Amino acid sequence: MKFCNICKINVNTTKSYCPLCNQTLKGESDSLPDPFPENIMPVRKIENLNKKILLFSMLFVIISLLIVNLVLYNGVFWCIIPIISVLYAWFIIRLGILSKTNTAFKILVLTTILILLLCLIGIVLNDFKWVIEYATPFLLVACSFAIGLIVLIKRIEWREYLFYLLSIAILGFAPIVFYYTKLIVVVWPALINALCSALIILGLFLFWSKPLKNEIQKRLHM
Amino acid sequence: MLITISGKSYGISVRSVKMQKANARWYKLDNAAKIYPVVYSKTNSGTFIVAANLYEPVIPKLLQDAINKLLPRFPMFRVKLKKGLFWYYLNYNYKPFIIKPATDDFCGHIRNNNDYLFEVLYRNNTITLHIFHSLTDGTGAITFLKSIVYKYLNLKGYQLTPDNLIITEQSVPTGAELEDSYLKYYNKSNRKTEKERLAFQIKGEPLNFGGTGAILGWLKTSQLHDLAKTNNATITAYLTAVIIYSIYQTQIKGRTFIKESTRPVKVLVPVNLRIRMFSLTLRNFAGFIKVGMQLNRENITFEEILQTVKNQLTEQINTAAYSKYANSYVYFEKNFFLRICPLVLKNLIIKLAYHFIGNRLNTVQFSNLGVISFPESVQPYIKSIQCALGASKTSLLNCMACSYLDEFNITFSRFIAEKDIERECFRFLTTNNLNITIESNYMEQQNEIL
Repeated sequence: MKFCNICKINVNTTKSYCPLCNQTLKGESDSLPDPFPENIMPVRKIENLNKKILLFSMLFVIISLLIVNLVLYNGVFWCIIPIISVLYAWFIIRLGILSKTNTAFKILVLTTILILLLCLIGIVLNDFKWVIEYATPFLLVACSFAIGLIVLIKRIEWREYLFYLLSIAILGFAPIVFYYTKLIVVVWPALINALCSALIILGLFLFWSKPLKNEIQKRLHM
Repeated sequence: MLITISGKSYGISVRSVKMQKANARWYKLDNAAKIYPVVYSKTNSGTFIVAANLYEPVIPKLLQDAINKLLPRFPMFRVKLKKGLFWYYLNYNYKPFIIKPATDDFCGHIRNNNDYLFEVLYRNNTITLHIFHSLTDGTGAITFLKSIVYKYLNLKGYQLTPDNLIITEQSVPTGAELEDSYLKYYNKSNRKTEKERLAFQIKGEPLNFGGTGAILGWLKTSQLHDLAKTNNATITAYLTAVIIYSIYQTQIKGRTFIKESTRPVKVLVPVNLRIRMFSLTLRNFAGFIKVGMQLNRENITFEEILQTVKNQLTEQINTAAYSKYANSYVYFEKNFFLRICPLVLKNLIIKLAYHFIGNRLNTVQFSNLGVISFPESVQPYIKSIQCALGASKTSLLNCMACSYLDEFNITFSRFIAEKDIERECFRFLTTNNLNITIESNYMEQQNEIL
């Protein structure tokens, strides 16, 4: 056992100095290997750098587009559309690919963001009816189809997706509400969406009522 | 699978039974557990360690088998942390649990572990249970470690008996083990309402490359007990006084005129509430005592500090005082507006409260797990037990202690490079004729991979 003359203490180590006072130790080590693993200097993670480079590139493109638009301004803010596209591409990479969260959550969030961004484009173009008449119902149907497919093919942990499936199904009634509030004129895409949602909710309550109840309790407990 | 009811057999598919069971396994976080996911960050892992040093090298395959056999008995450990709309919760984890060799990241973050909130590490003769505090506290972790060690030794072929000291795989998890005792024993009228002064904060430079520095001290329980007895104190009171005295010697003495030095040095001492409230829970259930004094005078003696610590501990040795802090946290948790607040907003509120008030109310935490007992048939195979609490940017120095037979372990974990407080503590004990052996992870010395 090694010994520190200053601290008057035994030190169980293969190192040559006292961990308390840095004094050179006397005696021979009788512990081989060391009680603790060798310390390795941490290596900087490349993943974080990638995220920063991605954010930097996205912000650079957005600022460049804004400047060009402002310099060559002719009464139209055309830069909104490419900015939204770049922003959505960033969301897809950052949330859809790099993030490790639940796939259903990713699909749900990315669809919601896409609908909101499309609405913004519609406002810029002074015509956003196509967004709520066609784009929103079809995107919601596609989203519920994707999450439903995951629930059906995933062998374990599929219960965690039920809550998202229910959420998207409830959202699917929004276009039909838009129709009755006279926000939209074309009704058939909204009807298809509402029908899909009704089918999903019926299926959920008929076949998976217990796991669904359990999921709701888990996620909404106060 | 066949189930017989009133003489008739009914067939049930094994898969459906498994599915139903798995479906039911989710747990709300207990009151103490709720803070850790919120304050978890790059510089705060929220973990602690309990480890058993055996007389023989650990065989990883047997250890893995032991864990695989034990995990179904401890469903509250077979979980992953999930976000709900209002609170975090623990959900059943389907993925396999894999043991790992110990790394240099002492009390670090639990990562790449199939979402489990604990790790079982092995190195030489040591089995280490590295655990996130949201799962359980020191006593719960020791119970789990005891079961792991028992099962491991059992698989090694030794004839052992549990003697009611070990939870074995043959028993069934009970509701009492899974309960949130904070809620069960909540007493609204007994909570802390008075305003508390901010505590003195230890100063130091962070370690060059992050991580936690650890210094473990090994001494004889009988010697320490005798030393404490000659001072008419318990081991916890004596060590608490030593820690306060070391902080005074290294951080305050000679600088008493500085404003910061007028703040009291406060040691947070967790107390196991299970014994006092007859709880069997394996989740967090600890109360707190705070011991502290203002040290902005020159020539304060150790005897003076020890007397103050003893007096304060005597005043607080009752269940009502122990559970005062816990009750006030539950009261905060039960606040209607906090409950209906979405998790994102709640996290922000709790984080701010923790950083600006909660964390600055203590100088250091000293957790004494007490005597760890194993059945007589197991004792010949276990040399010692050790424990350590992770340090963080907001809690620069922590101390944890436990004893097994005549081996007393005291571990200091630090986030800073300075080791003055530990040095003073150990030197004080050695000058009192205690024979101490220390070990360190030499965190200040890090090697570059070339």
